[in-house]
Amino acid sequence: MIAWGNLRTRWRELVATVLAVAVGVGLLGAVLLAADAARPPVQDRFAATSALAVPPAVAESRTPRTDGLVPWPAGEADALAARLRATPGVTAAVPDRSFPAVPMPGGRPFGVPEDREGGHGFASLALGGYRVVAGEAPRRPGEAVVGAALGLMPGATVPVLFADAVRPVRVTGVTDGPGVYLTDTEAARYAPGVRTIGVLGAVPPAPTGVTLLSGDDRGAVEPVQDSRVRHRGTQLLAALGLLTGVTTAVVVSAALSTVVAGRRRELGLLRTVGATPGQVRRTVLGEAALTGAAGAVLGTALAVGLAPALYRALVAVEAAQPVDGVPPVPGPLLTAGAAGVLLALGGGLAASRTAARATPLDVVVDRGGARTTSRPRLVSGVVTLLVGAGLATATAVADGDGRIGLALTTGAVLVVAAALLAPVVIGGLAGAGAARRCRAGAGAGAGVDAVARARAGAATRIRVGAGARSPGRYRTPFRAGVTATLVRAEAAAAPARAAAVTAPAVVAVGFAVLIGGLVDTMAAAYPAERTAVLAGSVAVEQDGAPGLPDAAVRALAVPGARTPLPTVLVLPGSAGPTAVDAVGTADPGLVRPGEVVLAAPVATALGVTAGDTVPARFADGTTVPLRVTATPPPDERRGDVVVDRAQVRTHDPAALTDTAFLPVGAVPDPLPPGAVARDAQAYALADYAVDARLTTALAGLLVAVSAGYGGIAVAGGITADARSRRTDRAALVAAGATRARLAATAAAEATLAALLGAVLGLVVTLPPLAAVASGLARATGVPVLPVIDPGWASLAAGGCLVVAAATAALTTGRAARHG
Amino acid sequence: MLELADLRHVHRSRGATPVRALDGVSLRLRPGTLTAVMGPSGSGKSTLLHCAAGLESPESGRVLLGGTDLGTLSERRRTLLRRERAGFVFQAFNLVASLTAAQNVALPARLARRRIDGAAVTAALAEVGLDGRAGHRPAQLSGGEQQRVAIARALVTRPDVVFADEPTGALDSASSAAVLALLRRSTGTATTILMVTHDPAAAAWADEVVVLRDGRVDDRFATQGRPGDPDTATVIGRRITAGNAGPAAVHRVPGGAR
Repeated sequence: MIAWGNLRTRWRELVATVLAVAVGVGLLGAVLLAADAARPPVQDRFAATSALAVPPAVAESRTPRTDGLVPWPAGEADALAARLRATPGVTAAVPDRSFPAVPMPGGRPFGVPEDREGGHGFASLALGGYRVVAGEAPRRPGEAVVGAALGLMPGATVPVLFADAVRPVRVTGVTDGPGVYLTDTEAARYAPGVRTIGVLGAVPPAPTGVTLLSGDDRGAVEPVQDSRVRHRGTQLLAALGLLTGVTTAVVVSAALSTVVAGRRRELGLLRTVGATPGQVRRTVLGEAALTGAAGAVLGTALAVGLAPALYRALVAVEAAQPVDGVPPVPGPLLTAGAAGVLLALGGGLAASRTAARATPLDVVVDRGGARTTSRPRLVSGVVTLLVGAGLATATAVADGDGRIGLALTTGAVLVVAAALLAPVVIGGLAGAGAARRCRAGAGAGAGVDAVARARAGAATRIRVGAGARSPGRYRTPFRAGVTATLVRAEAAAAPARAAAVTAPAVVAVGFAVLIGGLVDTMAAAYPAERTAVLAGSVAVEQDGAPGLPDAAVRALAVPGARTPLPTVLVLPGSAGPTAVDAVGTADPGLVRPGEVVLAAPVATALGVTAGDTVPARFADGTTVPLRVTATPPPDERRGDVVVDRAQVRTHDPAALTDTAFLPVGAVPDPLPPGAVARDAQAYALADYAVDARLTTALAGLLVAVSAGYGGIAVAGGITADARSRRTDRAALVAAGATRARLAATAAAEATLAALLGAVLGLVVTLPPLAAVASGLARATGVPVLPVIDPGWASLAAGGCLVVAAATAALTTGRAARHG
Repeated sequence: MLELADLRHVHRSRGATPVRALDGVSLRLRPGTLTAVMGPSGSGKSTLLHCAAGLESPESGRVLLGGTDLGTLSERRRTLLRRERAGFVFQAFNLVASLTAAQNVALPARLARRRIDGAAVTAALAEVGLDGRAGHRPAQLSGGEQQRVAIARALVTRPDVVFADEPTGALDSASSAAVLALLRRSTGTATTILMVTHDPAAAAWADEVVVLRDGRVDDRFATQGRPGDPDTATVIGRRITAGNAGPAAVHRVPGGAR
């Protein structure tokens, strides 16, 4: 009853909380809707299937090069397909054999440059429901049916880039689907391992050890380049979700605490007329829930509006595939709404505890709201701080993608710690300031209690009044001194109140600086890392195609050239089968057939030592025992898992050399057809360009969200606070304060609180940034310094200060006018 | 019935000198009487009321409310006892701002999870002359009307004792008279009223006046004449002033200053 009554009559006080929840739910909902829309669609080339049979996935994947499925060997795949075909109702079961095949009409590559699955067996044509629109099926090696988009007619010959060489292919037919379709025998030679069997007709029961995907689930089988795009999008959305969740929790908690602090007398009245502490707590929680529900309703509407824009942003930074629209499906919206209510309840928990501590005496004695730091807040603040310190250490020793995620989490945890401990810092600073003034003989004691504060305020007011009427030369020092005294006395007497403004400022500035700093630190470090590794090298790549064929690699085999042949091996790890990136190297001094060199961290992770023999499953599905000959420290040039190049080629006929690295001055002239050479710096920058675009977009998005959100919260906190301090204002007015004076004092107070928040926000970003820099330095072997982007930092901090000062001056000025 | 036996209490706050607020106060209030507690600022009036109502725990002494010793109860049991047996009227901040007059009156019953029918609430409001204002919120009521709603709320549970702390402190004389007449009338149903006031005109409505000074009972006398009689107020005023030779000296605990 009371919670509902409060929501109806005091909605102005609760607007800040409702808005905070609404913004949180809106962003969270948009994130979830975008994630839902970004779920992989069923590939066109599987459109006619009823189901896709896939092998079991690895337990752990340490590579972005694979979907994590352990391939079936050719024989096993054919046997399984035959078994599925035998199921009544199944009209066809086709092992899908896909491999790199890039048509090069006129010498220019055709199609998506990263596509490593352009070639298929002819039988796969049926899986997409494609037809041969002209000509006939290929009968012999060197023959193919090609997509009509190529513009070729049956009988034509076109050069096609395969993993071994660019070879001429005779077109026997044209299909309405995309791709190059060889005879199934030739396809099996390029792709002996099978990761998908397409089923037409009825959906059969799944044989043991086989996963059958039907309906939309078939989208799980997607080209590696698509899953990389989606992986980027997922990372971005996860970061946005994390940031939104933390910000909402901090902001809602601060807003509700302010509301409760301003209502202590009324809570005391409830206790007097018979409410138990539990009833008071439930009243506040009920209000939090209702506020959360109101915010959630607004927020879901916001989410529906925001989601398409967010998705467009993802597409723009190549973190999602374009789609027709982002439908407002109920699942994600309900989840976001529920999260909003839960976050409001979570934020209300601390406020309700404070409220339950109200005593009947609060109704007769005005103790001025939230005054000190409660023990639970202090304890959770210290604990959070320790967790943050631990995470910072973990960030420093983490590698790869994990490092950035951990840095963000560290930042989030430290931001929460700073928000929780803000009252302690404020109290400490104000106390120290007051003590210094005491020593200087200026008065104003620390630990001013409410009554003394009101009296001191009144006394100073009278002095101000006198000062205002006295000759001009006395006015300025008096005024400045009085404002400072009032602001300091307020901060010392009720640090938790000032903290309601400080906390959102910590969030806004902390995240803005952290994200901006991460982007800048990485932007400085990654190309430096690559350039250092590639110093004295020239990078040679196949233009417009996923890699260099063996023939080109042979032409580039000058002394000192490195031509790693990447593949994926499945090795037994501690958690089970583990997919790792491996490179084939033609350096008998390093590794010979039947041997493997594992970088020390990989060996440790897999639990093997030099001399052990590990069963390695190759791309063709066969398992080969490999002897671990050495476990040297990591070396970017060598690779973490090194095997013999010829052995890779034997077991992975589809493998392509991404890039060949040649010593400067040793580049053959002319280069192999279609190959381009770039210096190491240009290569490193190009390599980083996509990531840089993504991270910059991420930074912009996250900074806008956190700073905007923080601004709303700062404004909300100040507004609620101004309402709860009518009595104080009345005392000051009675003592002779003008409206301008009240506004100036309030603005100074809010600006200082926001400034402290900005400083704390800056400080908490240092550990994760330093940790990332140290991790990068360790990984790259080049010194990396944490970079703090002055642009983002000053934008977020300046924004908070301006919002704080303006809101405080306006609300106090208005409130004073209305009495 | 309310019985206070040898109440002693010292106010201690951080950084301030401890102040002896109650120094052996014993009082016995008969059912159906209105007792006014008077005395200069700092004499311990409010502390006495807070201790008697169980809002504050005295350092020693006993408070018996309807035969129950408050000192032996947990904070929760004390809350429940207040809910059942006591009503409160303060100088200000008596009503929950977001609730209507009727909802405010029904609040104690609702908090006790007891059903209270609309008729009882209407009757309680009618008793204080506000049956037409049931749906109004405190902000829409005058100060006197707000106090009358507070009285209706205090009386609706038929409590043993009503504690009133300067109930007319913020009202004009006409409104004050109306509020005091209501309080006085409620003693007819055997309700005991303990009222703290500094106003002799308010004390003139009481059966008995207790004067505190330095935390001790300095004077105690029954009033004469009809309730609220201005002459009685004059007599009370004179008697208080006569006893009040100088400004109240705060009784300090020897050696308490730190």
